[in-house]
Amino acid sequence: MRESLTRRTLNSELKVLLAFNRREFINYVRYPLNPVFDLLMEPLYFVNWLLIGLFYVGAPTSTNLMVMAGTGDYISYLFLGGVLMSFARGAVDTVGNSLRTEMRTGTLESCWIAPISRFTLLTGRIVLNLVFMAAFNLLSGLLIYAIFHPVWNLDWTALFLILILTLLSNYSFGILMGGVVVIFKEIWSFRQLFMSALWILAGASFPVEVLPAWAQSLSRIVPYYYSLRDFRAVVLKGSTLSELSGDLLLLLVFSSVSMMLSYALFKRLERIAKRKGTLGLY
Amino acid sequence: MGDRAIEAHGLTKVYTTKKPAGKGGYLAGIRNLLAPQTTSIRAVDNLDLAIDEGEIFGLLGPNGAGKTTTVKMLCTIIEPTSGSAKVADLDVVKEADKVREQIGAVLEGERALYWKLTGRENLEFYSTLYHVPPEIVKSRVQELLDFVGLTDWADEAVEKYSKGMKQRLTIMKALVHNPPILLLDEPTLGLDPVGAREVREKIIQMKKEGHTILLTTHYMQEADELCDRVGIIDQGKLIALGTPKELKDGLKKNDIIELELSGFSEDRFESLKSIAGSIDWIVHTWIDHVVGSAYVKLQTPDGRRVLPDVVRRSTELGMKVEYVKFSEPSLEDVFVSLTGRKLSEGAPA
Repeated sequence: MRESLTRRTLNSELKVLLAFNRREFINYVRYPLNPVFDLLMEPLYFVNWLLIGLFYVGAPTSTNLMVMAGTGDYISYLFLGGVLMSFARGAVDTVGNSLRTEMRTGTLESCWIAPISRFTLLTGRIVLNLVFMAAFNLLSGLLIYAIFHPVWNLDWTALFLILILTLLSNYSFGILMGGVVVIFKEIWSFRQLFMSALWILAGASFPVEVLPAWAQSLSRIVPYYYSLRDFRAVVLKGSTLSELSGDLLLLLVFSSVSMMLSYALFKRLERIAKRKGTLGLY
Repeated sequence: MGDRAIEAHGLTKVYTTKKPAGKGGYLAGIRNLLAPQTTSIRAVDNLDLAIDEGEIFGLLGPNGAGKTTTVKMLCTIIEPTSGSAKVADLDVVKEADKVREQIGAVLEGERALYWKLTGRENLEFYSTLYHVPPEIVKSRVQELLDFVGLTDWADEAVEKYSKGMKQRLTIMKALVHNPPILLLDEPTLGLDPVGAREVREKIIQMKKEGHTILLTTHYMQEADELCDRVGIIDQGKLIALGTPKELKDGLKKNDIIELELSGFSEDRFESLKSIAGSIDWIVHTWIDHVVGSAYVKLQTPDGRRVLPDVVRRSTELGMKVEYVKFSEPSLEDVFVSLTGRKLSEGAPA
């Protein structure tokens, strides 16, 4: 009997993660218009949005916002909301939409029968996505800074920590979306519903205080609410990590629990698809 | 590990599907949505298999017979409803992860490849997925490219490959980690005769290198040419098992006669079939509709006695026997004699 060359180690599992990202990158750049459009789309989207705000408010600060959020700089307020939402969108797309794309092209079954952990299969593409998201947001930030000259406190350590905790909860939802794709073979409706609800409940484009009381209660159980509140507090009010420690602890607990629950639920949904014989079918 | 590469006992897969709403317009549609009617399909039915190390075993059957479902259960991506299966002595449900290290599979044909990547990039990607040690990936990939004669095309995007080249690369994708067991689902499906022959040659070479191969096919000649043993599967059940020779020898008690008839029509053929004697009319294929020429095959225990009657009756019916040949039974004949249908007819609804 021949001996398989497979030598599975933690290191080889990490190499699988890199291989997924390398493959995604090659695929991405071999459609040459992809990078061009993406580089233009994100910054233009932000600038367009902010110019609309500027037109209706008539000045770069809003008294309403000052009363509710403690800052009148709605341009930065909206931009920071958009940054975190883009990472949320990226997580859903990276996991759920990638699975759907591979189902459609027919490559998913081949990946599924490889001896790799399901977690690797689901999160294999996140590095590339994060690099792209960071680059696009950085570019947008530079553009907004050049046009509107906002005053920002860039405490990178605090921002990085908030972002990491937010990403953990982002990807836990992304994994859940992966399970949805495995069963329903579809993601756009779920994605749109999720993102729309998130924009409102997390307070991405306005303070949640404008919502009815019941909706505000819902906001309190959405981790992005805390992420956004802290992100803005650091950049716009100069808050320090120690001031935000309560929120960060809450985010850590929520992210860890949601990651475990999402993965367990995904495994359950995968089992259902295997029983139905629909895994990989599109 | 023992001398069995694959074993299955009572392997069964039942799919439950929703019945269509049928007639009745929107109301029936809504009723079906609220309380869907379901129906069960037994895709694989109590299958027992024992495939030895180093053999090529063919699962032969029409479309919808349960071949692909069987392979997918062995690949760990479909869970059996009941029964058990072991691959390389590992349970396909309880030890699925380890099973995947021991198998290479071709399931989706050319669709398993990333078309924007080159052939080399595809193989390197899958080598990493199968945890092939990095220090040997490049040499292993080159070895595989040489093996299938794709070295000159290695750095071209797969989208530029012919169908046959894609299929050869797909099989190499399954070989990157040098698995002891290969599961090939219809490896020559859709290929032209040259492409199919190239793939078959590679399969024979892989057997020589010591791989155990389970292949599914509905091409009887392919099974005949490649397989050490063949299992004929129909409606999820294994209805015959043996070497191609054993299966065909089972039919040798009958004479197989091939006829080419001109002036052929369905009506005349029906009248011809009413001729006296124990005759099993197996296949007839139109050769030329314009001149009414057709190829007819019959099996009978006493060909020499029956043939003069067939020729005389054909002439009376206005047909002319252009060609007669006593032939050896094929696996197709075995399938027809067991099921009463041709392989190309697929599974009954």
